[in-house]
Amino acid sequence: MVAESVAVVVLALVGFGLWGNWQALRSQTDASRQALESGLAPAGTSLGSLAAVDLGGRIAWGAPGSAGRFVMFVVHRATAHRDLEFWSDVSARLGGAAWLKFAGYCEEGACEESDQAVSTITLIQAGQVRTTQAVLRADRDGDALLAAANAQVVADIHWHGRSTGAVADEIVAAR
Amino acid sequence: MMSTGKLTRTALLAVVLADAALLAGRARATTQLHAARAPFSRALRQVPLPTGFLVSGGAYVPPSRLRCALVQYTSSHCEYCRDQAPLAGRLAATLGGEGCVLVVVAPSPVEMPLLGATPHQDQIAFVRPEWLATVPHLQFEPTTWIVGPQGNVVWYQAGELTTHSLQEAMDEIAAALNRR
Repeated sequence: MVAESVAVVVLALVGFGLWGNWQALRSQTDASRQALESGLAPAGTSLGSLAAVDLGGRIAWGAPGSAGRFVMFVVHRATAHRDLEFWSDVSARLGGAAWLKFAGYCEEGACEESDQAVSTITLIQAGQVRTTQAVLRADRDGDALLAAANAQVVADIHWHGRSTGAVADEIVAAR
Repeated sequence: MMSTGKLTRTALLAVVLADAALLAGRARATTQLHAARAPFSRALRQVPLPTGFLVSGGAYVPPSRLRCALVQYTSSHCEYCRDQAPLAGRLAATLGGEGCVLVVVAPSPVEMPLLGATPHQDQIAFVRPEWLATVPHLQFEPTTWIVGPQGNVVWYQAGELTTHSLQEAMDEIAAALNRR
């Protein structure tokens, strides 16, 4: 009788443990499915370095200065002209600040005609896996990435649907 | 009225049944998690070969027609990857002998495992965003996959290669090539 009661309690506790474990597995499965469906890296990915290949095939930022900040965003094929105009305006509002560099990660065919037109933005055609995954992940949320020269992400800057003035202010505040 | 002894036995039976159901549910959830973490096992998935720039600086465009391809996402900074270099080399040499394209992608140029590189291996240091947007996300080094003649993934391994997985890879690609 006592043994049976103890067994009930122990098995009930085991059941609680199994339930918790089951729920944890389900939420991990959901998270994995979400990440895989998008094909993009999760938030918090640490970047290796910011070096990338620009539209001319040159390595950009092979050895960046230690004090700089980098704003990285995706230039979409469908909205390339508008995207680049937006970021040119942000750059102009910040007065071409020497501490700040802009990098547009171009979708295929998005930037070919813009190379000469946007002097304040470095147009990137290929980047490092982790950095590019992080830029794509931020873009999925309508964000750009603000990173330090040591490749640490400083902030996500939400820019889709916002004014250039508000985005410029946020970059300065996040600096 | 039910006696205390009978009540206890009923409760015991109930928790045993509940635990059994929970065990079954957990087992099913574990299987589902493994499936979710194994995107390449959806063998029908068409995964294009990487496009970008080689560590040597030239642009890399994969061949438009290919018999098969071995893609290794790996890093010289990862202990697993260094330990399994002989196995990875064996796989590359075997598939290279089968006429497969050999591609290595590293998280960054400084992590490119140049030492002991298999001849004819294309080492890609920078990838185009549109390629990354089409592949399941690369989180683990090493991740290795083989693309068959129809452009679909016939085998993949996220994590350490073993002699068993190596044999499995060779069997899968042999079967895919023979089915051609």
